[in-house]
Amino acid sequence: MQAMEPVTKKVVYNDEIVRAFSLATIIFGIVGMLVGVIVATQLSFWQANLGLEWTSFGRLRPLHTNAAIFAFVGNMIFAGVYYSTQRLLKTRMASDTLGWLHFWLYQLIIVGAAVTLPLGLNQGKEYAELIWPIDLAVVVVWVVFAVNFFWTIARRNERNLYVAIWFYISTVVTIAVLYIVNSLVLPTSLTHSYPIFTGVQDALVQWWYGHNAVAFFLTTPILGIMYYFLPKAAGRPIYSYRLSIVHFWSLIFIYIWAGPHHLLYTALPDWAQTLGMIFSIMLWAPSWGGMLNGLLTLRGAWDKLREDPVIKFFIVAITFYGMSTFEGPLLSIKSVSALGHYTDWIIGHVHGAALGWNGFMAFGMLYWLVPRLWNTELASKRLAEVHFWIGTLGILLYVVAMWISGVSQGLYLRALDAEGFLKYPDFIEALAASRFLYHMRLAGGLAYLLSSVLGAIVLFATIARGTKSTVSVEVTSLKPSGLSFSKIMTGAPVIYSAALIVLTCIFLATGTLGSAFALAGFVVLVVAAALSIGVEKTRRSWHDMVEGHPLSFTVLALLAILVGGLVEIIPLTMDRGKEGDLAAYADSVHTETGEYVFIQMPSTPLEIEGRDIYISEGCYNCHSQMVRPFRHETLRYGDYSRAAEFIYDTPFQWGSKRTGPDLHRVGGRYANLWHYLHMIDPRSTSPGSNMPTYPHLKIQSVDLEGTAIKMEALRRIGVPYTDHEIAVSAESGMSQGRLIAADLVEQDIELAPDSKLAALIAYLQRLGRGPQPTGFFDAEAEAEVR
Amino acid sequence: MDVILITAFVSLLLVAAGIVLFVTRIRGGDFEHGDRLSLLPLADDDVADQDDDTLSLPNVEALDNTIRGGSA
Repeated sequence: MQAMEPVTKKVVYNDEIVRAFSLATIIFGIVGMLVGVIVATQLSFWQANLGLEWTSFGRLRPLHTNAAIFAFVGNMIFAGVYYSTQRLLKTRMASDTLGWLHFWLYQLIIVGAAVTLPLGLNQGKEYAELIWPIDLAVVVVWVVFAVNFFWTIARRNERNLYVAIWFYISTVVTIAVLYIVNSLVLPTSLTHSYPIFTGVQDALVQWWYGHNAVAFFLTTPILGIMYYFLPKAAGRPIYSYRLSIVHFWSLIFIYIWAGPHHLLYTALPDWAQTLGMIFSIMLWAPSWGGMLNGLLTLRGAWDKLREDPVIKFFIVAITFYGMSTFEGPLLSIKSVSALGHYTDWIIGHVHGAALGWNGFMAFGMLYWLVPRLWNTELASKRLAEVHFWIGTLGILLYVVAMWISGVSQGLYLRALDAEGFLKYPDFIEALAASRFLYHMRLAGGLAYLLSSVLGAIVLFATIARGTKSTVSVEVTSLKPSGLSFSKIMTGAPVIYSAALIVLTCIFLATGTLGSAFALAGFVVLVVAAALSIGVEKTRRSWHDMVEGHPLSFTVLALLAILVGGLVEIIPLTMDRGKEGDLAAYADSVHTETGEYVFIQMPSTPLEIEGRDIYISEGCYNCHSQMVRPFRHETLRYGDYSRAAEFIYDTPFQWGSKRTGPDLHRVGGRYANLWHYLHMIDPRSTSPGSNMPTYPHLKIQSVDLEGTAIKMEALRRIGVPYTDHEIAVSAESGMSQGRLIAADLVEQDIELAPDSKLAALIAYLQRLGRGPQPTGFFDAEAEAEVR
Repeated sequence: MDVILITAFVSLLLVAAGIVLFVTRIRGGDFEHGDRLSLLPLADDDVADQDDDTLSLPNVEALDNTIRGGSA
């Protein structure tokens, strides 16, 4: 290794960009929480939907989640990353221009989301609702951020990368992989597209993304922020740097596998569900390692908890992190998921993490950061304390209400009487039982919002009394030297880890001979490792070298996060390929009696349009389309759902929450009249329901002339539409609409055949039983069949 | 019964592998460099400076050398 020549130089940090992101965090935090309170009000009082299409729950709920995750926490992450990266690397951000491009483009994306989501422009996948042009903008902004970030690392004046930077690196590379793969779509217009994955594959890819958006957007960057800001606030180093090494690598490797725990007891293959469950339970260890590392940093300084609001926020945030990362694995156990999934328990779980972990880390960081960025003291510690206590009370009210509501919903819906039939056959009974708890949730959310407004007042008062500071420091440049990519990548930990992964795959995927070979390989590996003890004589340890070589570090982090995704996603993709095409696959599926049937048929043109309305109105926010194989579910909803039934579904609509009942077998269950009345006034058919009204669907019409383009796109994905079916799609759609309209006319109700409501009814009537008659006589198609 | 034996064997093997790898890394000094790095967040500007008053940061490299008893 070459000797290093320390060079002293002056560095002026770019804190203007940190100030901008900090202000955006405060503003969008209030906006996101306000929309949250509005949707909580709608769940308590359906009248709060206002009868307007733009303000209905299904459209505002995605706005709330996107605002809270990407606008509030996103801006907070960037503020924290820009501030700490410069200081940990002892250099200014590489490009001010890229920084400002990042800031303004990101705010533009947030505004774009705030406009498009209430308009019903929605891709129908949770936390990935934004339409494809905005998705493209997100990718551009992420690339801009990544270039600036890695460029800054390349210009650093510090030899090693501190643990916070590792977490930032894992965030940058993983979010890029997740977002791009999950956003692969075929556009049909500027505002509409279809994901290239269908059915089970789409479900797996979506929850691989959805779960790891939690992992790598709401967790790893915040952990990086914890590792930087907590020691600063506590005035002492992190409890254990060694533990942080174990924490980092185990967390990012294990986290990526856990996505399928969102799909337990669904039509996802059982092996994938089991993998998701096991890795979720394993995740408990690194998560709590990180939590303890944070809490123990205060060892010997717990007195600060009494007087410093920053420490208060951080410690409660880390405590909620521990609680949520205990609850997550618990909910991932299949038998617990059977009770908790689709209920408010999940809502309580995510809000414990979002309000407690993310929200309090954000305010703790802002309370520490804002006085320094504006070179003054915090305007009022007392008000910050009040913010803390009201906020904490709000979180507790919220999560306790949702825990009780969720568990009681689970118990209500699964309860059987002595004869083995449903004790509470009417779904609405479970909703009615939760009514008080919904009010309690609203009170909790309101308290948290009010506390955040108080926090914003304190922060803006602090800004008003201060002046912007410019920080310049003299640093001793420590340039890395003597490190090579090949040397690091052939280091013992890489070799052992790779061998372990390969042997495990062989052990799990092969028969007796392969397993025996793998076991023998394990023994050889242990012996080799034991013999190598003491052989290594280098001055710098392997991990020390990795920390000094960002390329190696990034490649290793990328490999660590790729393994889980590839192992889970590729086999399912191969399954589709092996069958040739989707139609052949559907053809090969047979019933339990052994009789081969053509289970799945592509949607008719009107049903395609109806499905798009279902997505646009955000019906998936409250209704699932996945009957799990439990007696209480099959009694309530009908036969359990099978994978082959979803092969043409893109995006899949399995849902994740049942504020209303499952809809997978709703087709044919009710008359067209029932659906009409239910959409116009849900209380007329379901007394006690909190569903919004949809009068606009009656007066708005669908563009059946444009359905052909959608069918073309679906055909490219694998749905077997013929040229002729596409050519006559408009006539066919109108014909099916006329049948529904004619049926309603008999009940003295007039509905236009091409109305959105007719299309939605057509879609709902096909669910669980395939396409319904269109009434369209098609001589050519008839001839094809003959 | 076979399953229990295989599970026990694989579990013991993994525990042994874990212990061996841990000892290997400890002997390799993989975790000692952190003594210097854990001080990094504390070594930068604790108090924001106005305009051109330049702040000199503590030399954590020197501190590291003291801890590790050698030169870089």
